Amino acid sequence: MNAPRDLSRREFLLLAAAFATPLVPLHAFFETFSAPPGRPPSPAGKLVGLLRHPASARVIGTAYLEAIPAEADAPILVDAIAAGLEGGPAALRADANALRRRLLRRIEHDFELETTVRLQGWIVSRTEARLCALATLKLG
Amino acid sequence: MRVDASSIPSGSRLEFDLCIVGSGAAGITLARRFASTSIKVVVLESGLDEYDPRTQALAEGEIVGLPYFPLDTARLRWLGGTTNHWGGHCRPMAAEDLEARSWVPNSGWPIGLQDLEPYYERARIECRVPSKLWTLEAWQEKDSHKPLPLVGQRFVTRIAQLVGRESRSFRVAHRSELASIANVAVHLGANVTEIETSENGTLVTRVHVATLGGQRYSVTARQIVLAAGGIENPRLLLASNRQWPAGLGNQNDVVGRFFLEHPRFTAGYLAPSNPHLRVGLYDDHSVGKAKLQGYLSLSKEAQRAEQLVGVEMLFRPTYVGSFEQALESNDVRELQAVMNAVRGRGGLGDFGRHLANVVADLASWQSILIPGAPLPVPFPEVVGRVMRSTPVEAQALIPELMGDIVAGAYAKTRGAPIKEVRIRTRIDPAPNPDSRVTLSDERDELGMPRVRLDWRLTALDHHSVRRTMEIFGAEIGRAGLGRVRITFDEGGRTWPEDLAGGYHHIGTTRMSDDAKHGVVDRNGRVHGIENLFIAGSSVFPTAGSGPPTITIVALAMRLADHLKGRLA
Repeated sequence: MNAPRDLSRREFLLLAAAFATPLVPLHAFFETFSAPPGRPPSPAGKLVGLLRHPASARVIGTAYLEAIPAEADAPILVDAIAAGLEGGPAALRADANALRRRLLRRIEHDFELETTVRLQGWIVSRTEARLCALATLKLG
Repeated sequence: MRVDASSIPSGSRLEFDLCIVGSGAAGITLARRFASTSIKVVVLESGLDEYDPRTQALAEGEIVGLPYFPLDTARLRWLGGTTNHWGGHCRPMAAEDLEARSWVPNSGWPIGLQDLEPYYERARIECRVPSKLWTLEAWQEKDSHKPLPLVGQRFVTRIAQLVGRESRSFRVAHRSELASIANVAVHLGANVTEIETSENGTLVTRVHVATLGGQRYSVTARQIVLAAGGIENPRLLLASNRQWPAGLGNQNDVVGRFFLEHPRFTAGYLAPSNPHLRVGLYDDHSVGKAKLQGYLSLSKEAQRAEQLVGVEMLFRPTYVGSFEQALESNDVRELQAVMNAVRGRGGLGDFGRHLANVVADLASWQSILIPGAPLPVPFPEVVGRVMRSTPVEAQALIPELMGDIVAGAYAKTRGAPIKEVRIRTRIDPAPNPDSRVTLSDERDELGMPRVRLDWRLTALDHHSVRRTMEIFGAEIGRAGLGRVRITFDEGGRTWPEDLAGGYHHIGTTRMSDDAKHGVVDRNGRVHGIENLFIAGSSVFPTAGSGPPTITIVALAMRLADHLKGRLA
């Protein structure tokens, strides 16, 4: 867990916007970014492609990576996310909607089991934090 | 019968059956239970019929622990005592509030809910609480506000009722009646300076009284009850050290220890997933004639599983943009003032009511009134625009078209879009012997030692707030309601800057069957002294999850029954 500090109003609004919005795919942006034409997106690209507010994801992802620097590695994050999904790593082969549903179930389950992390005071599901961290690494 | 203490000649020695020190919720309740009996009662009230700065200054004291209100503002020394600024929240204790919890040192009352229940309904009437209903289940059909739709079972919603502002002061409610009861003498301006006991210290023989005008007299009574509040009660015991150097009832160094409050502060924020999340149940709201306030807290089972003290949460939403502005607008404040004046509430008096009328005449919201209409009603074209709009558009138009009053009312009753929700917490803290009231070296105008308050909380209290908020954050996320931010321990501070109490002074003469662990026994009698009793929240061993007043009144009624037996 990182040293607590106040979120700026802008960060707060970004965070609120991120959580207030369902995980909706933005294929046009992310899938183009993550996969060369004609090739299926990588697992990391598929996961990151589910996020539609990259700036928000970066705020959360950066905070997570500051708190848990050992996970600052895309394959580690993909494995950790996939391991928690219903169906395991194979779930990453599902289409975007099915993958999103599984992630949402996993996030709900994280909260039920309190598999959470406190980032700048916010109680965040470990899976959603990892997803944002992955986006931070992939998007730079 | 009301008596001006300054009219009693110095050196007088007055005899009564029952002497009650203090005329707050406990003292007045107790006295009224003896009305029209053959028992001769005296109530010794330090103050007068209204605020007097010289008398109030007798309550000044030193704060050496956690920040606290200046003591001369935290206790009110005039008829009615601290009910004169009572917030009006009432909720009886739950059974678990009185139980010993192995993980909370010094918890547990020597009495159970079965000892209080026979008195709670009468206490409700005494406190002028509108309804007999105390549970969420009982209110659910009537209340349009609903509890948070959490998925898990770890949180429960409790309901408190608010007494109307005009009914809160026991002075206002009972002043006339007290003046007319022949067998109850209320001495105003009568400051108790010492409780004198027999040589062996087991019987109170005299209560010494002083007035600010210089008179000194004494009262003898068969039974004496201290009902002067959780700071003045230990002060009187500690200062009465003629036979017992450590003070009366203090043979085990318990008097003044275990000072408890209901600490409250902002512990975090909720960012809702849906801006139409409804949290109105957890804010003051009206249901018919009743005014309610919901509190969310971990269930008894969850507290036990997590080994926590009770932490209650209530929610203060911030509405988006213009709705929030509407709630804070001058128009709404002015209307509120006018409504209070019309209903005869508040302390405006006749001149103030006229002034409010003038203010209302000049308020900008008059421009949207239809002349003659009893309430602010928008012009027909405004209604037309709203009716032609989609629901979302209509909501956006409300502040613009209907003015702040309608927008404010809409936000309060229908739930305008929420930007964020501030989470206020209130702790039922662990009893802590190091949190205490002692005597200082300073003396007041009458020569009484002033008090020194060292308010402290424990690591368990701190952990309980953090853990409760973590669990709440998880439950909110699990239910898809949003995300929670914990702020109360940010910046390396142990307790937040907005930490405050609720003017609840609890525990300083705590109740225990064992004299080593308490000052009074289960009947409120001071251990080791045959005829000295204590009433009020200073006898509570724990603060409990609810506000103390209704329990103070119930316990005073129970003590009255006990004393009737002794005085018979």
